[in-house]
Amino acid sequence: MNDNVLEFNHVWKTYKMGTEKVKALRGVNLTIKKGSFIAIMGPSGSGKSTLLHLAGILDTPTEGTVLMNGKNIKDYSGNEQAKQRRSDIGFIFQRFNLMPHLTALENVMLPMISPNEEKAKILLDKVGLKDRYKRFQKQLSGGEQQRVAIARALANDPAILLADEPTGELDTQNTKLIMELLKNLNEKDGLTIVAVTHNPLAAEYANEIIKMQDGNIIT
Amino acid sequence: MSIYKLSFKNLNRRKLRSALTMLGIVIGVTALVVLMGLGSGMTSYMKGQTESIMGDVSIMNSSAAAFMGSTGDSYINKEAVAKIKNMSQLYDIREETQFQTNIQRTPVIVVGMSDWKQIKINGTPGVVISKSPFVDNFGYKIGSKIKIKEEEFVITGITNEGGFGMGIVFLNTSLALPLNDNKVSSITASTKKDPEVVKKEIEAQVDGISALTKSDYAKQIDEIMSGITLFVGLIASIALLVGVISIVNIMLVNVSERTREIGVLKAIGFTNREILGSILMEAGLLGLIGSVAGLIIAALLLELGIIYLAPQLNMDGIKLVQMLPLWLVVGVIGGSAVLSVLAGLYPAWRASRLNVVEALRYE
Repeated sequence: MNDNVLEFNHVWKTYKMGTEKVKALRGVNLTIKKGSFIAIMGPSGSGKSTLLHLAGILDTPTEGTVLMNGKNIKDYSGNEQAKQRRSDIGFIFQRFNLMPHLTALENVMLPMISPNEEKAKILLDKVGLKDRYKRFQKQLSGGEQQRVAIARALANDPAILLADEPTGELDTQNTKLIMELLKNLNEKDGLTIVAVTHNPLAAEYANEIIKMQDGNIIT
Repeated sequence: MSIYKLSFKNLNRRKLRSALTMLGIVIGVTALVVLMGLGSGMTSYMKGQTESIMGDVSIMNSSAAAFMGSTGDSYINKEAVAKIKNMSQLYDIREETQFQTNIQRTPVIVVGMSDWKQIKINGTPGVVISKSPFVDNFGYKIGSKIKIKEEEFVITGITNEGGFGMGIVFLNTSLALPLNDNKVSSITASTKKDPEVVKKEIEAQVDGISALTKSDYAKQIDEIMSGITLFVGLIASIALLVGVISIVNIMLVNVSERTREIGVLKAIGFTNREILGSILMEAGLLGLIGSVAGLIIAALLLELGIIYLAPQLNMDGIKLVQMLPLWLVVGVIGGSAVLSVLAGLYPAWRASRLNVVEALRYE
């Protein structure tokens, strides 16, 4: 059985910025194995967010192939891409991106394919928010908001968790808390995690650090 | 939690904005329902009145039948009257007469009445004068004497009915006919068989007359009132249209404001169709809630009209159900909801087509 959750094979991604073409990725090759915890680091414009977008099937490569569980993401229709994201991929973002008019519990239940309040509570308990079910975004601290986002990302038991600067808006203490939480999910539940970060402290929690520059993986 | 439940929650987010958007629909629906309801109610009331006061057929001079039995000075000739009165298929035959004369040097209409249910009287039937001008200008009251064509009568009642500014005197037909040389304006009668068949028989047997059945009257009332109702309805629809356009505007603003959220929804796995559906639902809910609120306000206004205005317009007995028929209620609510969903189409389409990566970067 294939142990690779994601495979990037000679992936190029070119964007059009006005009349100019920007090459965000230049022939990237990368394999992400099940159960790995990878931190992707690099300066702004190095292509790490683009790589994450392709990993999350939010975008498709200009050239090359991205295989998710062995299937080329270009073969999915728009609808299938969305369904794949919902069932197999969990996202967390730098700005948490919770729905401000929903409670923590409702935010976690939002993406559930089969809405289950008990499961949402268990997930919130798991991220340490046992008494915060009914709180709205503005009633939660930054660290708490990110923990709700992590619980939401786990709502459908994804195969991979993708984190885009998950500690970018957090102080050191909360950075440690969030990264410890991710580390736990990786070690105890075997969850595959790919996190893009600028923060060396956050990257330390990963099993593997990949550095990018000018659209290429350099280490 | 489904994305459609999210639509309900989104309406609650900006309560004032949602309320103001709905207000456009509320005003449009209220105007539409009140005006259409008045038309519908009056049609229903007039048909009901016609049903209750006229016989199965109403016979008049052919030239008078052109406009719903407005007899004017056209009379049925005496031979025709005699022939009609002898028809075996008719019973409960009542002659009516109507003529113009002067009282106190003012032109008035004298109407011979055989069925006093047609008007509301303060006093008793017999010799009834219209309030204007007899009471207001000439000081007549019940018990006063009034001279019509050299004959003196004692006034027994007063009515608010008016003849488009002209005074009217209602007299028992037995009193009015001799004053008008026994000239008959119209005859109403009940029929022993299908009124439509009898009507044709009368018209075939008697020259120079036309017969109208209750259904002819109902048809004419429908034709006239539906034209008027449609016209006022179209005018009121403009208000509703403005409300619907405001939904387009607000939904575009909402979609623009929520670009990042829509990006997040897409990123966590909602399909374009689900995004489209949620925005359409939000627009539809604005229309649905607005139209229900408008309908309730319109019903209250119509009910107030029934309580306070109907008695003054001699429309006692008109009911709210006549003004708010099911077709109007269902049509307005359904129509508003459908129009609102259509109004949401473009904003929803824009939302569903948003590029997820760009939407996530949206500030």
